[in-house]
Amino acid sequence: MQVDWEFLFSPAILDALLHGLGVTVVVSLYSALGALLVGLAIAILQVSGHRTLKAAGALYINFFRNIPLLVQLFFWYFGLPELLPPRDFPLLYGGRFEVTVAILTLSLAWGAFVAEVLRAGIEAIPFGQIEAALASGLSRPQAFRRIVFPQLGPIVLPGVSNELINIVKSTSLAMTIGVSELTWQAQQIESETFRGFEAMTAVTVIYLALSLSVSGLVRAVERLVRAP
Amino acid sequence: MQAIFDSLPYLMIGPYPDGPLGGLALTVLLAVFIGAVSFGIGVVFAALALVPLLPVRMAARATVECVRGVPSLTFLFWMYFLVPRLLQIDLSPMTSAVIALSIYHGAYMAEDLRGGVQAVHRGQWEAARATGLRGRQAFLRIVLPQAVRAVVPALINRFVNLFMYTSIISTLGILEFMRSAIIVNNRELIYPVEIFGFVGIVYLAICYGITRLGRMLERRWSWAPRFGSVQVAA
Repeated sequence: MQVDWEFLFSPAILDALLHGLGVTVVVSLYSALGALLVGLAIAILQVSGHRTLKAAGALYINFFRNIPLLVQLFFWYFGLPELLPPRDFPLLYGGRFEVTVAILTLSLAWGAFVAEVLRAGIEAIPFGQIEAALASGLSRPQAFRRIVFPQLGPIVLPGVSNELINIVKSTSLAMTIGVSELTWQAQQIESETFRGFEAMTAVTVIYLALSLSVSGLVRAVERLVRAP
Repeated sequence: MQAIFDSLPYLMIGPYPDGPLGGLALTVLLAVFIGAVSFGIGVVFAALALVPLLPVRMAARATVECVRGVPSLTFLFWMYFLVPRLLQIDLSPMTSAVIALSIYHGAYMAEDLRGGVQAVHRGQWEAARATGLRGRQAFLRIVLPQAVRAVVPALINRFVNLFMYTSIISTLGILEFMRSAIIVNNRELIYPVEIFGFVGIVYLAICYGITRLGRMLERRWSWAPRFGSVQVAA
C-alpha cells in the first residue's frame, strides 16, 4: 500500500477535514455546556433532601445512562418530529436538524454522567460545613450557593474532565444521523478516494490531540482554582 | 404497538432460522464473547503495566492510553477498513467488529484491573512478605483476592458499557439488535418513536439489571479496597 501524506494537504481534503474538525468542536462545546447544565440541575435534585425530587434525579440518571447513545440519537432524530406538534420550531428546524439533535442527545445523555460526578463532589464536602452555614442563618439554597458551590471546582474537575473527553469522543456517533464531523469526513474520503488510511490517521491524531488538550486545559484550570 | 409486535421475532432473533442469527440474541452473544476476550486482553495489558521493567510498563501504558483516547467508532473503522488493507488480509465485518471492540474494551479493563491491584494497600503486601510468604504467594493469596473484590463491581459496569456499545457495530451492517431496529424502522417508516423507544427500554432493562447485580456485590464486599470511580468508554 502506498502512503501519500501529501494527499492530506490537497485543498479539497484539507477543507473537508477542517470542516469536520469545526463540526466536532462546535458539537462538543455545545454538548459539554448542555451536559454541565443538565448535570448540575440533576445533581441539585439529588442533594435537595426532598424525597420525590431525589427519586426523579435517580430515575433520570438510571434512564439515560443505561440506553446506548446510538439508540438515543436515532430515537430523537426520527422521533422528535413525531412527538412534537406539527409546527415550525425555528430553534430546532432552523439550522441543521441533525446537528441540533446531536447536541440535544449528547447533552441529555452525558448530563446523567456529569450529575453523578457533581453529586459525589457535593457529598464529599463535610456536612459540618453545611450545618454551620444553616446554623448561622443561611437558607439551604444560600448555603449551597455560597458554601458548597465555590468549593466544588477542585473536587469535581478530574471527573468532569473525563466526561468532557467522553463527550468529544462520542460526537463521532453523530455521524450515523448524518452530522458531518471528523469520522464522517474520514469515511467519506475513504469511500470517494479510497485513501482512508491517510484520512483516518489524520482524524485519529486529531482526536488524540483533542482529548489531550481537554485534559491539559482542565489541569490548568485545576491549578488556577485550587485553594491557595 | 402492533408494528412492534409484528416485527418482534425479527428484533429478537433476526432472520433466524431462515437466515443467520441476529437481533437481540446476536447482541447478547456478541457481548458475552467480546466481554470474555476483552477480559483476557485486559489481564495481559494490566500485567504488562505492572511489570517491574520500565520500558515494558511504559509501552503497555502508552498503548492503553492511545486506544482509550480514540472514539470506539473510529477504532472500529480502523479495524474494518484499514487494518485488513495494511496487512493484506480479508476480515469479515463480524471478525473486525469483534477484534475492534475486544481490544477497545480490553484497554479499559486493563485500567480497571491495574487500578484494582494498586488499590490494595501496600501494607498488605509488606505484611504478607514479612510473615514469610514468597512474592508469588503474597500476590496470589493476599493481593489478588482483595484486588478481585475491588475490581469486580468495576468490571460489571464495564460489561454494561460494552453491552451498550455493541450497538455501534450496526454501522458495519451487522444485523444485531440496533441494526434490526433500523431495518424495521426503515420498513415501517411511521413508528420511529415506538420502535426506538422499545429498543431503548430493552437495553435499559438488561443494563439496569446487570448494574443492580454489580451494586449487590459491591455491598457484599464493602470491606474490600476501593479505587476511584469507573470510567465509561465512549
